Amino acid sequence: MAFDWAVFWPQLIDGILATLIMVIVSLAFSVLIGFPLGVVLVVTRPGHILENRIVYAILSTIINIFRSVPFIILLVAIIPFTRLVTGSSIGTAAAIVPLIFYAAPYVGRLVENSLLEVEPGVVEAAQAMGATPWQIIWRFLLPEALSSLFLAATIATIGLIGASAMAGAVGGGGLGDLAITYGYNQFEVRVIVITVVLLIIFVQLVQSLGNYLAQVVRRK
Amino acid sequence: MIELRNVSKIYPGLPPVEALKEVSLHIEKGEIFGVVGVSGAGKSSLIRSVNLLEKPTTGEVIVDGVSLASLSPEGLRDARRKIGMIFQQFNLLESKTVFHNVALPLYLSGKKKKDVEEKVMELLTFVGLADRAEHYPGQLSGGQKQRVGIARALATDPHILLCDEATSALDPDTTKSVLDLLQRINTDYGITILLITHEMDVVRNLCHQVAVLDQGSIVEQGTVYDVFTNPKSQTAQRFVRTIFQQELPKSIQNSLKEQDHVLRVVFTGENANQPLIAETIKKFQVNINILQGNITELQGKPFGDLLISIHGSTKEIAEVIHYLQEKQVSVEEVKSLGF
Ligand SMILES: Nc1ncnc2c1ncn2[C@@H]1O[C@H](COP(=O)(O)OP(=O)(O)O)[C@@H](O)[C@H]1O
Ligand SMILES: [Mg+2]
Repeated sequence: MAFDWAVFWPQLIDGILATLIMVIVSLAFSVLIGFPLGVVLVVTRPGHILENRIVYAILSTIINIFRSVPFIILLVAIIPFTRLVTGSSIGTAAAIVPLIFYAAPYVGRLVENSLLEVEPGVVEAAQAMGATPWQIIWRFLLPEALSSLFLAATIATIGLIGASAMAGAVGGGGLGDLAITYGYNQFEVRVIVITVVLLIIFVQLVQSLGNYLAQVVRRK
Repeated sequence: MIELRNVSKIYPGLPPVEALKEVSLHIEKGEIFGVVGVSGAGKSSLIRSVNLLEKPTTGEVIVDGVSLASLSPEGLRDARRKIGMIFQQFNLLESKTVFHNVALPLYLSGKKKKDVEEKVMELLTFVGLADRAEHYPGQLSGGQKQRVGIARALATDPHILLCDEATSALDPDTTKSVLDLLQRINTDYGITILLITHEMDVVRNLCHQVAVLDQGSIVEQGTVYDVFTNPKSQTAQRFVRTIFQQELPKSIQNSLKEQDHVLRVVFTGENANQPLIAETIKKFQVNINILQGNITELQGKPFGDLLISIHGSTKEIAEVIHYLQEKQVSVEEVKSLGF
């Protein structure tokens, strides 16, 4: 069977779109979940503004559990849940669910790290001027960590691009799916090259954007 | 104005650290009060307990007649707005302009934009940085950063300013100008200042009262004049010597003869203006050699601290000491010169 480019090109466009959707949607949800997680992880630490050993220990443990499961296993392990949410265990929508499970705890840790980089003295100054915990988070911690947070988002996005390609392997659609279907199953090397080049371009673009944003807000 | 009653602070750990031991202090309104001590003496623990950044393990902190520990979180935040604080490392937001940094405390209490602008520019003018409003802290020198810190601390019109080693990261010239600024804050606005430092020079230049902290305890306390001219505790003596007496140079130590007696002579107040050494030489016909001397002014009063060597018989020397003591001069024989 000869390779039919006329059939392939529309599929490539669909693949690109599917990858973009998977990455963007799962990133959005991961940030929505992971960002508050990271903030809570920081402020409940011993000696911090809302110190709470129990909350910290529970959250930290849950995150560690999810982070220690390889993505490919996570993908399979939560199929029942995925089916419950999306009504199916294959397709782009179904791939997004495990991607969120994979990335949200990761984002949580990244946000935690970024916020921990803020000088403790800044929080102290905030407390000394009578700021509420909420004000300390929004007016002190986050602005000071912004540059580092952009870099964290960059890392998370690139991680998701990689993971989304893997999700493609189990029928999630996207560039990974194309690479497997044509490249691996039909030995079509040119397709592998095209998809890999596209993934590299994505990663480069994301990294450049992240670096740029981090630079703009850094004032040191 | 500020009162610490038997404040102790123990940091848990293995072993636990007892940073403050039954510290009691009373700071009057309008005073500039200095706490001096070596690194690790408990100074930061002490100043941080005044606005309850550090909760005392036992004891009470009373500010403006209110025991801070009795306040609700909301009440404590209100109380803290009336207690400004500046830090050794400035603790400014690097990501925000000078203007924004100074405006922050005002934003926090929900002030209107127009009022904020007026107040911030007034403060920046006061600290001499009006032209730097749109700069970022990263573009400023250490002294300028501390001025921003001061403007920020004053934004909420506090009655009290706490200074945690505010000049320790600055060079001597900059230190001087920041101290002058603190002086103006005290005289122009009547703000009570509590500062902690390991530099005796800061206390000498600025403070009215001083307490000496050693291993978590206050070992001496009094007016700057009294503590500097007549330090009683060893720790205080060591601190006073850091600025008034250096170790004698080796060459001078070696030139002293066996039978030379070395005396420390301290003049205070009135007698600092009299030519006592010259009179002594004339009267007793002894040889007096001034090894080291420091005549200065403390809180507007003259003060002299001399190290002299006398060559003479034991009897003559006893007479000299007696004579000087009669003139209300403090004399003490120095046995070892190594300090
Ligand atoms: N958060 C803390 N936890 C444990 N020990 C502390 C803490 N803060 C200070 N200490 C200890 O308490 C003692 C006094 O410290 P500090 O008040 O910072 O002194 P200073 O400001 O005079 O250098 C030191 O031995 C220090 O190591
Ligand atoms: Mg300290």
